[in-house]
Amino acid sequence: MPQRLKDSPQIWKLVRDLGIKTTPDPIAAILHHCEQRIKKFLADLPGSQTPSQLLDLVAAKLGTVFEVARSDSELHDIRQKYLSRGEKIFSRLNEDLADEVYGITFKLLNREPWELEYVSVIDCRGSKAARAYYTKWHEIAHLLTQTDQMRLSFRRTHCESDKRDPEEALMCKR
Amino acid sequence: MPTTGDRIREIREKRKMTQDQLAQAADLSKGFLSDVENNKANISSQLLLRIANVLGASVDYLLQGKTKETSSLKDPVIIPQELSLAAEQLKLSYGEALELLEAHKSVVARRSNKDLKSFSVEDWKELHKAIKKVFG
Repeated sequence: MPQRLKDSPQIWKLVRDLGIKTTPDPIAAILHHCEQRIKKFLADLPGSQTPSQLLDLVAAKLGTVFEVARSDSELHDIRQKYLSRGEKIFSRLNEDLADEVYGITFKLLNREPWELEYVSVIDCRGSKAARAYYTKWHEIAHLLTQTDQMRLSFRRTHCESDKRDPEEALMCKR
Repeated sequence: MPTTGDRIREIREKRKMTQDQLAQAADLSKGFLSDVENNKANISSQLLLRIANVLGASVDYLLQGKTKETSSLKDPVIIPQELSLAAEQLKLSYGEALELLEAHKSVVARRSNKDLKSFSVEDWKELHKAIKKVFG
């Protein structure tokens, strides 16, 4: 594990925001926090056995649903669906899912109390399809560690560059 | 006190779906769905998950009648400087700027290979333009 990630003030802030008391290893503590949450979900809804079922269960418990776009036509339908519900940010969905963006999770602003709080749009068009499974878990990792909307909202991610954001790098930890 | 079955029926009706349609979409029998809605049968977690996904409903709501929400309503409103500049240039009212901020804040996470980039004045203007094009 790179020392700089462990030493990042952003990671330590996340540890504090998650309510983790004291720890010598913030990365391990955050991963443990996520594991504990997933174990609780499994206790609430037992019976998930395959990785795919587990993914659906965790997504549901975190309040998101995956909208998968395999073609431009499917992406158009997803955009229209949420625009018709007054979700203005979907106006830029095509532009937001540019070449190197694989998935975006949106908080729904116009919803019924019983509806899911989020929607995660997974871009599976063309070569992006191969990354779909990990993109879903990446979005889940963000929701598992979400503590403050503002901290998450003004950044883009980079999972493969050395210049990546500490929290984004953490989302890629297994 | 409403049960899980009552809530499934309530949301199915709000979605204007018949029992047939919901049963088919969730891959279960209409008879079983009817029994669940009439509190004559218990439902497994996997089937409940399938119903929740079809209805676009929260599992927690179906189970308990309430949801756990992460809310930022109590957070103080902070208008980023770039948005403030964009609003000034576009002659937006405070309410319009807030609406833009709220729309932008609805992006919770994004997986990308692009480098980190903060939202610039031009980005805010583009967002405003895109929203205006659709919503007027």
